[in-house]
Amino acid sequence: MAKKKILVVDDEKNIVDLVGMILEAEGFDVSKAMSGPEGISKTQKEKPDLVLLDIMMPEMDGWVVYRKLKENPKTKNIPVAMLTVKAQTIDKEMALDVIGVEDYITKPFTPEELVERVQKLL
Amino acid sequence: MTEASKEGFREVASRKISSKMNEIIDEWKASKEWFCKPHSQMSDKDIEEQGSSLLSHLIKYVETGEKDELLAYVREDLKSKVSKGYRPEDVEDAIRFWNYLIVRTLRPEFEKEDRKNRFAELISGLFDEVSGLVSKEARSLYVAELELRVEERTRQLKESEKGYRELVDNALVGVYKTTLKGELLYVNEALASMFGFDSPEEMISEGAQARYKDLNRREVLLEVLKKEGKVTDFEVEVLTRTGKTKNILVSAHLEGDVFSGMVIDITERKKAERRLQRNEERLKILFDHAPDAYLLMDEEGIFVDGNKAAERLFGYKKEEGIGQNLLELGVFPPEEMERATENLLRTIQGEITGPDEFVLARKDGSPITVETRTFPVTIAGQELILAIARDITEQKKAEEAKNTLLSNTSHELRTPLTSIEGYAKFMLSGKIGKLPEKHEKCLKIIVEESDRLRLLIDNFLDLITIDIEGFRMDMKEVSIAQIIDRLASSMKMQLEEKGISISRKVPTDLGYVRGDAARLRQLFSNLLDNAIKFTPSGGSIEVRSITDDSSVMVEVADSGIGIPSKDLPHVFERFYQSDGSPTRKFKGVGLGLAICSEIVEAHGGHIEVESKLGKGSVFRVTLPKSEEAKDG
Repeated sequence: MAKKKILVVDDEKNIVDLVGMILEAEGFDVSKAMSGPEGISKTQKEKPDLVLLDIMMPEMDGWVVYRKLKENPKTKNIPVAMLTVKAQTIDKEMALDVIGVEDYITKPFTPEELVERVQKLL
Repeated sequence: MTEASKEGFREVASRKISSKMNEIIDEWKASKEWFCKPHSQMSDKDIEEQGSSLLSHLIKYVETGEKDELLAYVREDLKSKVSKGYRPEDVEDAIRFWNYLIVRTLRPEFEKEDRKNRFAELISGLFDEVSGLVSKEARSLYVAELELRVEERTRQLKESEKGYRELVDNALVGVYKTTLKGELLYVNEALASMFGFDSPEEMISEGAQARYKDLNRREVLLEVLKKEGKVTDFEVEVLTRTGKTKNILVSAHLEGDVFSGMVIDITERKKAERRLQRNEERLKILFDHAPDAYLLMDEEGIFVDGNKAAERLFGYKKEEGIGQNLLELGVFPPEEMERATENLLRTIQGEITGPDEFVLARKDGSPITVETRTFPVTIAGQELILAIARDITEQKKAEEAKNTLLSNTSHELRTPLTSIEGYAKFMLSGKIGKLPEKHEKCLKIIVEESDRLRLLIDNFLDLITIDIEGFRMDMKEVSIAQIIDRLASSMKMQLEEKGISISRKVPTDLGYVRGDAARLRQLFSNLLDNAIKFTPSGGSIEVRSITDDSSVMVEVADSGIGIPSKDLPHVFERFYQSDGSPTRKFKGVGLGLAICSEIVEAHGGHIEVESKLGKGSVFRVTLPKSEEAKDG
């Protein structure tokens, strides 16, 4: 079975690298994007199996990226999980219940937690 | 004379009298002018009536020989004439008439025929008696009556004069009489005492001019009097005996070179007026300098009055608003109209409303955020609405800025923390090679401390949010049993790791609580987190719950280290830190329980704790049951 491909979109290099290290150690193929537009173009080009998307990014925030991905027929079926520091219940419920993201992972996270949630989404 | 002959005589006599009667009466009527004094009140009708009535008594007397009844009749008739107001001469006319009647009817006939007769004697005796009665009794009766009337009238006159005199002497207003030159002729008690004199005489002796503070004012008074003949409510400043100034109102009328009238002391009224004016000015200053906008409107929302702050706040001049309906002035944007109208209606019904927040529009269209309160008030019998509006626009902006800052700060703190914790944990996971024992120990401390830091940030942000926004509670029917169930399973790993057993005695039919599911989950999650944190390996945690008609009670009990009794009263306070915590490891950030307490309170419940050092703690939460759930 081919390796599952995961795209990590976050403007924080350390976070992208950390997520990458953890997921690669679990045998995933990890692709990285450092901004919203880069995330969109890589999703279209690489067709990952899952996108982990930060919310608070300069230039284009995660919600705009999310909307654009879901509006595009080519990418709309790719699951997207938010990966964010916005830990408040209200944000989380808004994302899951109202917007309908596939998952909402708050930072900081433990490596086990991240792996477990990613596996569930694939 | 035999009884029979006596009977016969009487019969004859009666007949004679009867036949004679009309003749005698006509005789009297015809010569009335001659018999009576001028202006006699006796009319022909009177004469006929009296004549026939007296004659019928005479006949009866002749028939029966009973004179008392005849005398009684005469007496009664005289009395009634007097009481009907007959003048003495009229009464005398009546007496004269009766005498004539008796004499003409009886005497000539019987005297002539039967002088020695007993009956004649009797008639003569009766005549004397009637005459005597008339002359004495009738007169005395009349005089007595007349005297009584004179006396009564005199008394009335005296009383009325005394009354007027007393009225003037004791009147509460001052009454006086003075010459144009200024000689006082009369002053009453009230006027004397108004000017500080012990008696009217004392005041009179000083004259009128001494009382004027400015004699020119008296000249003006005299001019008006001379021109108009009277003055009404003429205001004068006067001096009392001791030289104190008083304000009086004079009303007077002139008769020749004397004028008299009334004086009212309005010194107190003037003072009160000044006081009132002062108060009004003070209130106006207070009202106008108040920082909040004060608006008065009537029951329909028509603007009545407002202060300077109201002008500043809304950008309208007071004059532009007066008579306008505030709801139609454009101050309330459409989206606020419904709430504003509702508040007005509630106020009209007597309720106090607010504080409520409204975003309103100034005259230039710029938005302002205000906090309003409305009060039903009554001014001079009119029901009005007082609205107080406080400009909180800047405050709101500052709050929003603070909110954003805090939220950003929290995110900025969390990002590096994610890296620190994530890398450390990843190294510890062994996925990049085995670490020397010492390195592992160091990394574990990094993880633990970053955990604490994360908890601190989370709770801090949570409390600040509550402070700024209050609880945003999404009230629903919440099953406590389900929350605890889910929490326990999500904490399974944590519990297993630490070797702590958990037992649950939570009935599934615990019932529903009306509350915010997320907040209640946070509440029990905090309590369970604490229990796990403070319970050593091998310990146990028990969650038990009971319910009654009105509430649901949940206890979270652990076999942990316990809380020193001196700390127990403070555990729900923010940032409370026990000095005597056994090790630094157990030191919490002091916010978790404070948040729990606020969540419970926001749901109308209460939280308490029991603990024994070294034995464990029990946290007991009681929440009111949902009304719907109770009914169902």
